[in-house]
Amino acid sequence: MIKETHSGTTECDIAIAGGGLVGLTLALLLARETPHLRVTMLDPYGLDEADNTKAVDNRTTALSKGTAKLFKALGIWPLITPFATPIQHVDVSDKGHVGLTSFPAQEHLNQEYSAKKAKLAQGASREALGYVVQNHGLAQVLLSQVRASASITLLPHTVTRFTPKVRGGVVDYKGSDNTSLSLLTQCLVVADGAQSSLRDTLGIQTSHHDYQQHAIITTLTHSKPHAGTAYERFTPQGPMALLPFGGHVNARQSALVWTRPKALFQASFDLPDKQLLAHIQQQFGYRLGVFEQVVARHHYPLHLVLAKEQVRSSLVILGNAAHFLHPVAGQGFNLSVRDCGALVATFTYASQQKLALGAMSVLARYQAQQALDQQATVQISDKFIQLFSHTSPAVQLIRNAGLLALQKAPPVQSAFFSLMMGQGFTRPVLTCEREYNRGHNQEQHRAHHQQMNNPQVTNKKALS
Amino acid sequence: MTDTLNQNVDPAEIRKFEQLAQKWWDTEGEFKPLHDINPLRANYIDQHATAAEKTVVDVGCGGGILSEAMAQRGATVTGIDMGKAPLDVAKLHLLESKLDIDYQQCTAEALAAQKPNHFDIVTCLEMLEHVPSPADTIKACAELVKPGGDVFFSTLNRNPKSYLFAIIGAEYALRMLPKGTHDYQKFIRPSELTTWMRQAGLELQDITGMTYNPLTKTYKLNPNDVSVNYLIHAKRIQD
Repeated sequence: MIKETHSGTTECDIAIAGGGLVGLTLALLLARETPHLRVTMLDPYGLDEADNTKAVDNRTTALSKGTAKLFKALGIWPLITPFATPIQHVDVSDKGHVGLTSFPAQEHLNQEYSAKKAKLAQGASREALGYVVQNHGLAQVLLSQVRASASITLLPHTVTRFTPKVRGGVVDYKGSDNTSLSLLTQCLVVADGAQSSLRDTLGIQTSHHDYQQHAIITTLTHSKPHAGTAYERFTPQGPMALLPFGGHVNARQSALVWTRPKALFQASFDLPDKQLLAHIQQQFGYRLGVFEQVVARHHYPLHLVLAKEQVRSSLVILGNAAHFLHPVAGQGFNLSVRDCGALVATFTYASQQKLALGAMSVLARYQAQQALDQQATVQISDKFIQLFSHTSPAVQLIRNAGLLALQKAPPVQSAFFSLMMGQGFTRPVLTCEREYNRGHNQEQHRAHHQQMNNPQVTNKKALS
Repeated sequence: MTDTLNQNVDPAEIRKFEQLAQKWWDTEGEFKPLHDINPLRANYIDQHATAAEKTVVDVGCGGGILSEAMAQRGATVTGIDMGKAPLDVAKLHLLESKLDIDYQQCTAEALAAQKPNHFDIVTCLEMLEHVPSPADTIKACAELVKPGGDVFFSTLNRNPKSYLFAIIGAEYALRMLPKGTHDYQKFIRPSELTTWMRQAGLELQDITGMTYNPLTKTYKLNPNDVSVNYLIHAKRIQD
């Protein structure tokens, strides 16, 4: 699909720098929604499947209902489900305070408790609150879909520079043998992660907040099934999230994201397996039974990084390059997926109106569309962390009252989680979503009709 | 000749910015508000005049915050200022940003005498309130730009609200700017600015306000509120 021009430079409509989860999601949405637009994706790693297997780690991402729905609309959800574990319950607790649902010893002994919960979760046809997906699995599904899309060209190279032109701009990138090549595009989307070097090259400043914490990430196996429960537990030393993992509600493994103060994380991280398990057990209690095994550990420092500019003529900053949030609140990827949806809707509009894709007036629409969602999501995620990292008695009192309200009042709970899952905001509906909704409604309609007709059939039978 | 050309300068104003020069690129320091509004005003200029592949002169460029933003948007930029220290800072910062900008210590009047009808775009932002005769600077800007070219001004309106916001609010209450940054008497009403523009052969295209929300700590362009900060887009009348 790539077009050679007389000067030897190539041309495309949209260039994407960075082939991570966000870049891949954007590329795939563009391939489905605007197949007439030629997309080129550049990433030095990750695009090569051999490289991809090397980068395997057990990191996970929480997908909101909305994100899952978008993947369903794209028709790729069946491919993702083997890597996704549904979240049926969320259990928020605070160690050693009133709001805590304490973990009595009986509960540890009560073997039936979690089995019953698992059964309930399985039997209930109610929709999951969200999903925990293995990053590697999701990336592979997205990549194979992107590869199969005729409108997308993949280049395993690093973007070094972007020079705006009257229409669009020139993307310089380094070829495999270090030769400099260039690509003319209508719009460049920078999605090369929180540490985006391209963002810095473009002189885009960031605001930076260091949480003074490190996240320790690993997978734990435990003696009881998780029953699709995600646990958010707040200890005086930082929040701990245990997310259901293993593909189904009866699995006995969970992904741990344990946030430790900067000064203390190394000691915890370096603990031998046995001590680490005992330590986590002590902090977490016995809701998941006994923690048995811990697999490969990773850690990284936690920052809130916000780009001070997200849009210029022919340029968009997307994903973690635009906003990198604390992982415990599970907001970052879902917000970026909503950004992707809004951006694709903007490009669709521009292309229908025969406007330049990178025109400032076009991209300003995208920015205006997402500003409120971004601002609110960043605030919620940041305040959530601050609230639960606080040790002052007054804050603890409010927090515990809040937790009690969450536990006792289902409407409060659902409002809290829809807020946490970023469902409070609307963005333009994409064609694939409209079609999916229509198909979905027809199916329900059909099922409804069958139900209506069946009694008649049985009545007739009864009559005859 | 050069003496008269260089007359439209207030030495006290130049000294004020000389002393703060090394803080120019500290995005959390004295110039934070300027850094914060910079993407907004740069995109405003880009949206109204497409900076890419154009020649731009940034009048009163200081440490080069706007000059760099225009260069990043694909323009060939000349930055002029009368303060030597800010210009040194601007030049030094080019090593970091790896941009190519021509910085010169001269007035708009002096450059206009050398290079009349030369630039596609002239930007003169947050500068008019610091010179003794804004009308002369506006005239020089009109001479620098090519016929049909684009000129941008921004300054502070003069009314009780702008006094409250820009002096009491920004300099004293919120401490966003160093005390003494602005002199209320030098603030300019849009009507005065547009009169001087017309006299210089510039035609008003657009005017928009810039408002600050102290709760979200964000700025935005607001065409319905020019009561404090405002931006003007003008075109030089074709000969």
